[in-house]
Amino acid sequence: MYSQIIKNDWKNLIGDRSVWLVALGLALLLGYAIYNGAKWSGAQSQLHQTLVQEQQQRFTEARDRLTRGETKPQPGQPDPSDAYAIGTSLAYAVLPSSPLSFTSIGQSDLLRPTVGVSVLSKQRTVADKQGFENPLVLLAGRFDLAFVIIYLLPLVVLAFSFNLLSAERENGTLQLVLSQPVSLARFGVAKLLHRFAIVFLFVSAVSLIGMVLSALNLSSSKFWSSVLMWLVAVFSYTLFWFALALLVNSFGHSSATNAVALGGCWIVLILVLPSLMNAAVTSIYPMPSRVEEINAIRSVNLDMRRDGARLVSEFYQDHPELAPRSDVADKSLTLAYVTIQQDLKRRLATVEDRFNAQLERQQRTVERTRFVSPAIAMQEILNQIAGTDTSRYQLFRAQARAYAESWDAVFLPVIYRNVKLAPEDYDSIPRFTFYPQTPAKFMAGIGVGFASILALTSVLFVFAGLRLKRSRLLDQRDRLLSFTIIRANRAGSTKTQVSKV
Amino acid sequence: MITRIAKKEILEMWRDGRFRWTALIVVVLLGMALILGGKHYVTTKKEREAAQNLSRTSWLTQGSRNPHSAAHFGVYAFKPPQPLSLVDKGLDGFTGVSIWVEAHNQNPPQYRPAEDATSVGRFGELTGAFVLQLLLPLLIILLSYNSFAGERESGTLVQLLSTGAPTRKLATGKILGIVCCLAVLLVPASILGAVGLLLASENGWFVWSIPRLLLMSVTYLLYFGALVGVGLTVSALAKSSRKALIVLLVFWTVNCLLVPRLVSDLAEARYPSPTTEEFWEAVHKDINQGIDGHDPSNARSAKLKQQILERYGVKDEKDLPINLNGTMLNAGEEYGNTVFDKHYGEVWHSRFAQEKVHNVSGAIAPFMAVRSLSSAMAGTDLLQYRHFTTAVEQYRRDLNKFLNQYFAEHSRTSEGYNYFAGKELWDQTPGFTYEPPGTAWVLKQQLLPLTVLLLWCFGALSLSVLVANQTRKLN
Repeated sequence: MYSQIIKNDWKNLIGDRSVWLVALGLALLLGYAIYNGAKWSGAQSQLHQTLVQEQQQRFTEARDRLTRGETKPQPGQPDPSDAYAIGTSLAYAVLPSSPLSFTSIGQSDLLRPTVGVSVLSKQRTVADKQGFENPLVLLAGRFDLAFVIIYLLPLVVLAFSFNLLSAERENGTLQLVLSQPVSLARFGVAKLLHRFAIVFLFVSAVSLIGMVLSALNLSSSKFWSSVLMWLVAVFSYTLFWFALALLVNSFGHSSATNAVALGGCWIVLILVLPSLMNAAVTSIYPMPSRVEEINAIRSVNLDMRRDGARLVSEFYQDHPELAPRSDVADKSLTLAYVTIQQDLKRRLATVEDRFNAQLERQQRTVERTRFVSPAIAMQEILNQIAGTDTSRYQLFRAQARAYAESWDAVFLPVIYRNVKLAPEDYDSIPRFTFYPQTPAKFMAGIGVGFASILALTSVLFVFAGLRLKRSRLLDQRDRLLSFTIIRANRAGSTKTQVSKV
Repeated sequence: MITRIAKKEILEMWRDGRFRWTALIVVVLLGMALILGGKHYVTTKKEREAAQNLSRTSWLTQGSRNPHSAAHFGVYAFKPPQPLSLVDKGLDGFTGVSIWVEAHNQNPPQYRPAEDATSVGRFGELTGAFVLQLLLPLLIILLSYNSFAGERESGTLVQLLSTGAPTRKLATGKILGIVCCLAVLLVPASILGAVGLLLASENGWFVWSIPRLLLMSVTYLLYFGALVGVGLTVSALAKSSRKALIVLLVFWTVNCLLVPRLVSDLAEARYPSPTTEEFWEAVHKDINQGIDGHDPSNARSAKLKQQILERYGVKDEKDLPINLNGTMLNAGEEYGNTVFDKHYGEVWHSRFAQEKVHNVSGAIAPFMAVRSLSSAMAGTDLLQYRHFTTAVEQYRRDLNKFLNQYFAEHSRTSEGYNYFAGKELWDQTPGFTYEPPGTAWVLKQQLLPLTVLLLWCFGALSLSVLVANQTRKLN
């Protein structure tokens, strides 16, 4: 019976020219989105890799020059034994991109995957002089695979399912079907699952080809596990929209009404609820004003020429272990400057902590309430799989700060003791390594996302099933008609009976 | 005749539960958006005023300092929000709110609000503009898809035409009906918006905003007009109301979802923005080695030093009546200014080239035109962003020039940087104030999207009247 329903549905679908058009359009959109994302994220990771390599090369060269005793500064090449010059030459902590970063640009176009590291505060380095992205592009959002999946895929699903049962009734075929030994609920579910399988397999196949073509390293297990999670995500999300369509169909309205109702659901779930959620979260946990940060910066009203001598002598009193080995009179300005900058750094860090804590609270609230819209849950999941979610950037910033402290720990003692860097000191300059969330924690986070989508989906299925069992889809006349047909079937003379009816 | 058709349309809409519910949701959302926007405007304005004052106070009370050290201590300049940003936040989430004014560097604005928000914000913020540009069009589609196609299906069109009513009048009546339904929703919302604006803005900002508010209203009316025209045209030409609905929903998706992202990415690919690293590397290279690559900074300063010694007719810099350091700093600033003009010029060039692509794409998607015009009137567009950064940069250059000159003229080279100035000098420097550009200036830059929107509105409406004839044939 099921195979017949599916066979018949398949024939109907492939006979429909508009189905082919939609398939072609979807394939083009998916393909372009993957290409576009890969181009952008490829250029980004290229840039950041170069940054790390250049930095490594600079240090190696400086170390070599120091070993050879070439300490005379050259344009663009500071004295390799000068701890201040090396400690203030900007280094970067770089967040490595994940294997599927091109599938969802997420927050990576807005939040920076590089943090400048220097003995000076971020204000005195290029790290605080950024933001050259075009705001128009940030506002519009990127045309990436996540966009096609979150926004457009549901539209395709709805186009395939808004008249799942209503069209059968409007064409008069429903009575014929129900004259067969199959219940309305089973018929609906069979047809739905068939269409779901087609859409899901099509989207997965096209996306997989795109991903394999765009992947940098096909042999990495991280790539394949991410792909697997991506497939599960798309599976759940697609199923949700089909379930919604089945529920709307179970009310037994006309195809046009179904289309309007489903369109309305799409708008509410994808446009209205996320914007309401954003408004709610930002009103419950408003960000402290950035004025506070400026306040903190301004509160350090110190001047290296005016206050320098006092600051430096205070510093040495507090840190006798760093007492200089030689006269520091000629270095007093530098030392004062570094001391002031370190003070500024600490004050900025406390303000930064407050911002991070508040953002953390906002993020938690979103995570706890993401079940209100599968689009919100899906956005978070796709960003997590791509490694472009807010939390990963927060983790990165925290680790980069710890890294900056270890950087200071190498250079500051040398600067304050007023000694020269030795080649061995170069070996102790730490390299930044990003430690991602533990797989267990990562899976727990993403698992809640999956669970919230699947829970919503099951609720929809249960409701749809209950409604279809009570079968209001058929009015009294329909019932009578199918009853007649069933009787006629039993009598063994279907054709003549039906034509009479 | 026309009014009677319009009356019938209105009555039918009102009886339709779908319309009542959708209209209610849209109005509630619009109200919420305006209230949230108003609150946001008031707090932001207060915050930034407080910050501007704070920056000024700490500048005045910085104590004695070398004028150049003071220039490094610097000032913060804040972008004051404009009242109509309560309707349309435009680019505000993605543009920095504050610029650090310091010596040697033209800094880009910092603290983009979106950086301090969760990724849910990327779905779009609930603002008046969001409701008016994205959701209201859906309501218009709902109002119009059935107009002709529905009457044809129910057979009432034949009766209507048999009365000898000219189709043009029929179409005009239908347009009028839809417009009246929209007015029922929008007039109270506009009054609410205007009252909110009056409450939120003080010191004459309300009066200042009136022309902008009027132009913004015209913008939205043109947009809605265009959509009514498209809706009726499709309804008149479509074989069934179902087909009309599908075509209109596809139009909405292309207009509001696909085109904005596609065009933005295509424009970015064509006119790429530099990365932070690239930008500063190029700036530092030009400052150190000269813009043409053959004028390194040490050669520049040696030459300048020689010129100054010759001008004053002395051999040793210690004999100069001025402090050479101040003069050198000024020369450095001036050279830096040309370098920054070049590189920021390129950044803005690429941004505006991209914006032009966006505006041209208004020809296929009126959403692009209305977004541009609306944010321009709200003062949250690219051009007024640049207007602010330009004003800050002018302030920075004047301030640095003044401080360096004062430094040069009030001390001798032998003092080096050990010359200190005090409060009387800081008092002489003006505080930063920002005057937003006039409405006429803003409008002049928006002629392309305005023309596009006018064409859309009158084109689509006339087309709908013209194709109304078509329904007779289709019948």
